[in-house]
Amino acid sequence: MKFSTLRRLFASFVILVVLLFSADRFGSYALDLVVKQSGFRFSELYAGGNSAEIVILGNSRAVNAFYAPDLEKKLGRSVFHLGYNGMSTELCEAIIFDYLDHNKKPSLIILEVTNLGVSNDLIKDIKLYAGLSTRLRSLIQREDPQLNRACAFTHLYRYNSELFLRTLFYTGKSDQAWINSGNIDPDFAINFVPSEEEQSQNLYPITGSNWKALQRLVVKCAAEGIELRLVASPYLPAFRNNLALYDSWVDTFHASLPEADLFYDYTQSLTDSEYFADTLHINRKGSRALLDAMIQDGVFNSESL
Amino acid sequence: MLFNSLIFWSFLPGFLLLYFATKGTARLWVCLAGSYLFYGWWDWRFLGLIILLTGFNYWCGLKISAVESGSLERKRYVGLSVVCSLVILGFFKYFNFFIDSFAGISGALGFGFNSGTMSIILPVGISFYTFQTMSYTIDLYRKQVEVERSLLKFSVFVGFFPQLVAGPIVRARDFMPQLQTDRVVEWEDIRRGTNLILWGFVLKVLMADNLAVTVDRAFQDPTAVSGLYLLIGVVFYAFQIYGDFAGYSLIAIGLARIMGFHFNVNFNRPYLATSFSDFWQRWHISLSSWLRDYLYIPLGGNRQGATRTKINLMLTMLLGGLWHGAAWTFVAWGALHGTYLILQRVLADSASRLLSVSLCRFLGWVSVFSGVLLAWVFFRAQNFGEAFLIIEKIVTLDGFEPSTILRKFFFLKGALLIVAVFGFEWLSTRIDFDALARRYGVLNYLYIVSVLLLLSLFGMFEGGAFIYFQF
Repeated sequence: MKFSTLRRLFASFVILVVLLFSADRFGSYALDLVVKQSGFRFSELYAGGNSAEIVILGNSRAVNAFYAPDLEKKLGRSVFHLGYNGMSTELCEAIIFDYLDHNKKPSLIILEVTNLGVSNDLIKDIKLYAGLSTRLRSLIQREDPQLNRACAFTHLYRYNSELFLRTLFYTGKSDQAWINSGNIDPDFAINFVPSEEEQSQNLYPITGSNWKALQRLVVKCAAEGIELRLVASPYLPAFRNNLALYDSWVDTFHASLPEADLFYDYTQSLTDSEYFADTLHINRKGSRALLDAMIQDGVFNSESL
Repeated sequence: MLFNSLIFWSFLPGFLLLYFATKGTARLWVCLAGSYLFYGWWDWRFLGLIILLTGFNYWCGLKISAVESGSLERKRYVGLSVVCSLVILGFFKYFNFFIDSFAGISGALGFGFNSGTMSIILPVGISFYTFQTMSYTIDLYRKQVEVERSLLKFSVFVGFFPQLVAGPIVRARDFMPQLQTDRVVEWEDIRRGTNLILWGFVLKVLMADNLAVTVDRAFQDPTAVSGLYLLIGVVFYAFQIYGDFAGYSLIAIGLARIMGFHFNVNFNRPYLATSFSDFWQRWHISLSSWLRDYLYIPLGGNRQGATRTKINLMLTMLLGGLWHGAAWTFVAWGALHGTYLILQRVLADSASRLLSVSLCRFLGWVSVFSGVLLAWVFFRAQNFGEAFLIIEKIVTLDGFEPSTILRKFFFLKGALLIVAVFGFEWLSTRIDFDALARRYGVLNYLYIVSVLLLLSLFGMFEGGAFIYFQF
């Protein structure tokens, strides 16, 4: 290579580094403003000032099982849904602790607890908010140091996330009014036999870190005077009946958690396929039926509500 | 090593530093060592196979050049080279396929045949480098290329890492002359090479890997999704495989360009083709031209009457299909393309007599795109049952409701990326962006910064392997 080419290469490299660094930092600053303006649940969380009396947490089963507007209407209480697809118990812990840091303390927390076996893969998406949360940053650092380094190197990479697209979609509007209105094919619902992988993907094995997170959550809620309800929402009967290990899972749960009366098992409460969107998730009609059952069982009876 | 892996980008700067710091034979040794390290990183044991094929074809080349043209001995050596290359390829790629097929046929005829399949690992890139070595000995036999007497140079020709595992298939007549002297790398080579690499990453990391989310979901269990979602999956797959393979080719060509080597383009906006023959002049050009020069034309091409031409076309496409993988679905893919080419020959004249040029071109584009989509169903499906189920669900408009679209954000993102990438590619047929960037340097900086920011924002960095590695 000629010396002049080498010199030009070096100069171009320096110019590019400066341009890239500036564009990355300026761009991420601008996008951060957009994210903060969004009505998406986590943006609202970090914006602060929320004063919901009931907060809901969990993975997609919680997203589908609890419809915040219905709860508000039936209970006459303000409700904030913080659940999200693929959210592990450990992430729920980080999110609710952040919620308590930024918002008014709720009276009741409902945790859909069948996410105890869920991994922390959601960190790849929720890194969007890592700049606003030391808890999320330390979780990412522990789970995926390479991802953490990438986010530090290029700030724009934090916005490389499905959640970012959702924050854009919910700019200027709330995301709380979403519910699955689909319906599972009745023939499929009757003949469905879950594979071993399907049986294990939601409940088993309970990861140690999720279990510890749940225990910390119980202690924290008790210390803060927040009532906590652990709920297992309905499964399609064909799915639930084939969860051979479910009973032992519940036994472990009761034996290990002293506050076992916190736990409400609705996994078999709905039997008709019209209540289900798919094998794992209930639909709008199912969520209403579940809500009625929970009200009847006094799940929402709270001293502080 | 994958081009989209951290390990490759750790390897590349050190390699380039050594490459530019050396010259002559030392530089060739750096090239060879780097290439073998690149390949051996996947599985060092298969380096032996490359070395064996290199040594054998080098020896055949010397023998071919040593005897007089037209002699039987010359034919024997080229035959030996081709047969041995095909035997090695056949063993690693097609052994189980033929055994299974034979067992299936004998079972259907009532003869019991217990086929014990062997666990054979397919060496990455074997289809590419065997075709490359075959082209050398055949060209040598045809006296279209000079014999290479340096084993080192011949080894670099076979093992050159940018195009070793997934092409483009580089011909000896194009590459060998470039190995005879030290490449002088100009600023223009670095600029052009960098731009090609970046566009390759746009196609792969930005478009193909994002589309893969929807495609994988659709093809994972076609019984569980709607016809509409399957149609989206098929359309996305067409763009995914283009982005994946054209992306790899561009990165390979760009890397070679930075090192001073000039390779021909391998893809030329194939989905803008207005006839099937036009499509094959734009899609995987290095393979289609290889098949043309070493299979179609030797079979007689179009010189022996209409019927023979059609047979030659079909044979070429069937073997082209089989080249991609050892499965009957790939053969069906080739058969479909062969049928398209034959139909085009039959119908093209009548169509051009009856219709205006612009309507002809438009209808041509529609039929090429639809035909290619149909063929991709067989290419991507695991078996015929799955392929026919997908087609049935699409044709019968099973569940054609927007609510059946799963993971809508990935669908929207994918659709937008297709529009953006192809919008840019279409625009580039009207505007010479490269000439503009050459003239106004600031535009080139803008391009590089924009691409890197887009990759950072929307790229998929899960290290997804390139589809064509399996071929």
